[in-house]
Amino acid sequence: MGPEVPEPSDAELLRRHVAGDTAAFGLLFQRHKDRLWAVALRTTCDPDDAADALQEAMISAFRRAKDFRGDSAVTTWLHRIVVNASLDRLRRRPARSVSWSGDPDALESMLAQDTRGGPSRAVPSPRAGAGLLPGAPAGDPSDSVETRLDVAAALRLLPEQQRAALVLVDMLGYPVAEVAVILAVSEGTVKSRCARGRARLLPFLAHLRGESGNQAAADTVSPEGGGG
Amino acid sequence: MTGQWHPDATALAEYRAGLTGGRRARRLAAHVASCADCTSVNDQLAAVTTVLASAPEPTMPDAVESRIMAALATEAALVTEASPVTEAAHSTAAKRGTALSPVGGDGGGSRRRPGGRSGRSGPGNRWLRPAVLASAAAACLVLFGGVYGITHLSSGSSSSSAASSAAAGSESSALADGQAPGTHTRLEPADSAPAGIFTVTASGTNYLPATLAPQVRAQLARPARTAALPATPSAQLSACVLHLTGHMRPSLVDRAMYQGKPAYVIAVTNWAWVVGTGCTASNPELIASVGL
Repeated sequence: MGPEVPEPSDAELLRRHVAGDTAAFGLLFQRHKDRLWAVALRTTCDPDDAADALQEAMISAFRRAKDFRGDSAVTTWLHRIVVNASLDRLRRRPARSVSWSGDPDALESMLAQDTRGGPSRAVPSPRAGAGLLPGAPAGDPSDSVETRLDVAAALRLLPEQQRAALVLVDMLGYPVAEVAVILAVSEGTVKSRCARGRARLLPFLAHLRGESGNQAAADTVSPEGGGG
Repeated sequence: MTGQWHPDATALAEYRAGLTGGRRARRLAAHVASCADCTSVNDQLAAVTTVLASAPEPTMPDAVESRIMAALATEAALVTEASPVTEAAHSTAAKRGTALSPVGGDGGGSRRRPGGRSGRSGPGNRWLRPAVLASAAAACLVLFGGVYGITHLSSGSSSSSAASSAAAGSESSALADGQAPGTHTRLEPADSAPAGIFTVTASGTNYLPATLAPQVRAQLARPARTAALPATPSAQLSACVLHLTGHMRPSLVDRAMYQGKPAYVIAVTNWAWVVGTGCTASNPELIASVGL
C-alpha cells in the first residue's frame, strides 16, 4: 500500500485475474465501483435493481474475463456489461417501466400509478428546479436534495435506451464514441438517443424552470459537433 | 417569433447534436436566430444537459460493496459452505471460476450466485436483505431524496420483492410478480443463522493498514491455529461474520488488534474485513477491508 508502488493498470489486473490471481478482479471492481454503481443506479432508477444488476454484471465479467481481447478499454468493457445487465433487469420487470409521452399533464397521474415509489418521490416541483439552471443561485442543501429527486424522477420518464445514452453522455460525461462502444450502436445512434432524450425531458425541466427562463446564453444555436 | 413554421424540440435537439446538415441545418440556424420562442427552446435544451451533468454522482453504499465483494470471493473459490478452504482449493477454484462458460448475454445470467440470492430457501438468499434494504435506504436518501427513501422503506413489500430477486436470474420476475404485499422479512437474517460454524482465533496480531493483507494471508497460511477461543462464537459475532461473508464459512476470524485497538479480522478466500468488537449484522462496525 506504499504510495511509491505503482498501481497496476486495469488491463494488468484483468490479466492477473485470468492468470489465477484471486484478488485482482476485486481490486478492479474496487477501483471503478462508484462509476459502475452510478451507471447501474441511473440506468435502472432503483437501488435494489442497481445492486442486482451490478452484482450480475460483475459475476459475468469475472467469468468472461478471459474473453476480453483488449479491443476497448477495460472500463468500457465493464460499463458495457453493467449497462446490459441493467437493461436486462429492467426488461425482466416491464410493469415497472415508465414511458412518458412528453405531455406534462400526463406526468402526475402517470407517476401516481407507480405503486413502487408513489407519486411523492417524483412529482416535479417548480421551486426545486429553479436552482438547477445556468445562472441560478446554488441554493441551500435542501434544494439540492430536491434537485436530485427531480433529476432521478426525470430519468425515469425516458425510454430505457435513451436513458442509458443520456446517463453515459450527459451525466457521466463519456465521449460519444466510447458510449457507442458501450451500447454497441453507432455514434449517430448515440447522438440521436441523447437528442431525443433531451427533447423529451425538456418540458419536464421547462416546468421546473418556472419563471427563470431565458437565462441561458443564446450562443448555443450552433450544433455541438461531436459532443452528442 | 417569425413566420409560421417552428421546428419541434426534437428537431432542435438533433440539430444541436450535429445530426442535421445541409440546407436544413442552415434553415434551422437562421430560424432560431430570429425566433424568440425557438431560441428559448434551444436554451432549455442546453439547460437539460447542464442539469443532468450537475447532478451529484452517487457513491456505492457499503452494503452493496460488501455484498458484491462477497459474491466475487465466493465466485473465486466456488467453495461449498461445508468444506474448508485450502490454498489448493483457493487456486483451483479461481481457475474454475474463470473457465466457466459465459452467462447469458453481456449483462449476466441466472447461474447460482453465491453472494446473492440463488434460491428462495436457505440462508444464502436472506443475508442480503438487511444489506439491500440498508443500501436502498441510503441510495434513496442520497440520490433520490428523502421522500422516496421513506416511501420506499415503508412500502416493505416492494423492497422485499426487489431484494428477494437480487442477483437472481429469470426466476426473479415470477418471484417479484408473485410477491404478496406485506410478506416481507426485514433485518433479521444473519441473526437467525446458526452460530458456531467457525472457530475464533486469538493470534494476538496487531494488524496494521499498510500490512493488513500480508498479515491476514500469514494467518490463513498457518496450518493449525492455536489459542482458539471457545469454539462457539456468540450469536452476535456469528451474525456479523455471516453478514459480511454472505453466509460463507469464513477462513479466518481472529480476535486481535488493529492499529493497537481490539478488533476482529474476518477473512474469506480473497477478502478480509476488520470490524469492531461490537460488530453485529445490522452494524458491522467496519473499520477496513482489503483484497487478499
